[in-house]
Amino acid sequence: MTLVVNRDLCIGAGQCVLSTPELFDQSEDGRVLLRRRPVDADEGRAAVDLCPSGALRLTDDTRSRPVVPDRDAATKGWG
Amino acid sequence: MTANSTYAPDAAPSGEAPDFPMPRTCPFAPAPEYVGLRAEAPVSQVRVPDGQLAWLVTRYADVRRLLTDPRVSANRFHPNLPLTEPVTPQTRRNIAAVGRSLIGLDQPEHGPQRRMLIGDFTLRRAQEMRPHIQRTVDECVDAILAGPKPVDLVAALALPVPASMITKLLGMPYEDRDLIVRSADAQLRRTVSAEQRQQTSSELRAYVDRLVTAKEAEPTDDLLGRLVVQNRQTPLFDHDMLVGLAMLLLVAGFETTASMISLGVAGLLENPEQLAVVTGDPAAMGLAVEELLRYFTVVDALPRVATADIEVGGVTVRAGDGLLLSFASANWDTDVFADAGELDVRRGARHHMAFGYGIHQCIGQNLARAELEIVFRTLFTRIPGLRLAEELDGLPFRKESNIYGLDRLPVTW
Ligand code: HEM
Ligand code: SF4
Repeated sequence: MTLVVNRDLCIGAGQCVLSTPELFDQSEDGRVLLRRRPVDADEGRAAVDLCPSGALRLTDDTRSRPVVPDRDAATKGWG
Repeated sequence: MTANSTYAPDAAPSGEAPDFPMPRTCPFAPAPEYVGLRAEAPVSQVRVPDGQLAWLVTRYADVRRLLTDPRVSANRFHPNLPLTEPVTPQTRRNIAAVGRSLIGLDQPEHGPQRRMLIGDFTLRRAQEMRPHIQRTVDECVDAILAGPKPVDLVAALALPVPASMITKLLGMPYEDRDLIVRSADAQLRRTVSAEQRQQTSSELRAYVDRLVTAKEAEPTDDLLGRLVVQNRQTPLFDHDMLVGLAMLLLVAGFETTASMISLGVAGLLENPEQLAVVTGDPAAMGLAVEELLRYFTVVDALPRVATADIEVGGVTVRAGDGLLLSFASANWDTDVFADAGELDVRRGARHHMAFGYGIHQCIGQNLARAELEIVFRTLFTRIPGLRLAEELDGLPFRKESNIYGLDRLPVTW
């Protein structure tokens, strides 16, 4: 399982930061940031379930990458 | 029915569809009809006050799925959008005022507007607001303790706290807080005449228009000021849209938070063992607030329109049909929340839909959480002997309203 973050879908509800602050943060512009590499995909599971916008996803496809070609390391799909 | 055809109320045999909103009977429970509907007819037709038919969706899984379905529109100008209050010229004006901002938009228009705002609504920003909220709550409690008993907690606490927060957030002069309180109070109370209500509402609109005009002339360091500056770089809003957005922020964050304050206090006072949990452990308050949000779900149901045929809950919703998604019913769905009818402050469930779900999920939710936590903690710490001054069942609960709440909450100590 891979945790995929798509900042373009983020609506800044902050559910991820509220539920899993050790893993997620919000940038000044209000969008999600990954603080670090998740230990495993399970670490992000609660936030993925809470995220209302589809910005956080778990996928089986190990080759999957963020939909947005973003160079920012914080947005990479990890897991 | 084909796309874009007008939904004909007479198409269904009359007398079959129950009226919506469905009134509550127990002050602490959503409409009792929801229980049967979730079990037997999770997507079923209801009739809204203007006579139109709509599909009421009552199960958690269906509500959540539809809220992320791109075929479901929030367009406030669609003729089939099922309005849950009688349609008066006033409601039409209100809808027109806010409909072009945020809450009435679908993708791709919604995202860019929302992203202009979310920097002001991060969890960090909500934390920075805490000292201000704490000060306001302390002032209210000072006044309560110094005043006569019993006191109406709606007027003394539930209205001033969100009013003060919104004033600060939007960068309004502090003195103008009263205007907001008066106007919300007029909308809230059924004893206020329709003309009076209309008058305060127009007064508020004129005020917000002047406020936006002032920010456009001289942008200050607050949400509206920053928005004006950003909007010069990337124009998304014209003047009327900015006024609509400011109105939306005013109303969306006010009555809802005020209702949650008074209902939350009543809920905790009526469940002393639950109150003991939060007074005994300050760290328990965060999850207690989540549970109160779920339990009371003040925004009962919100309207949407299907833009294509959708299979859901065993029926086919046709393109153009109105939908009512019930958050209150979803949050009492026992498939998702065991013993949903019990207030359990240790439940630890964050996946309730009191703030909605999907792209419109409440932008002010973390501010609301901060307000509620501070209010409950401060009130019960500073007035430990607080109790209701009248029987719960006799209190003026707004049982017919789509935004649940209390007109008055007399307490003593
Ligand atoms: C306990 C308090 C609150 C409750 C229960 C609540 C509930 C909700 C719900 C259910 C929605 C979803 C609407 C939809 O799907 O159509 C929503 C949206 C919204 N709320 Fe709140 N709200 C609260 C407090 C606030 C506060 C404090 C603010 C602002 C300061 C606010 C501003 C908004 C705005 C602007 C939207 C529209 C967001 C969008 O369409 O993208 N709310 N709220
Ligand atoms: S929960 Fe989803 S939408 Fe909300 S801030 Fe996190 S990533 Fe963005």
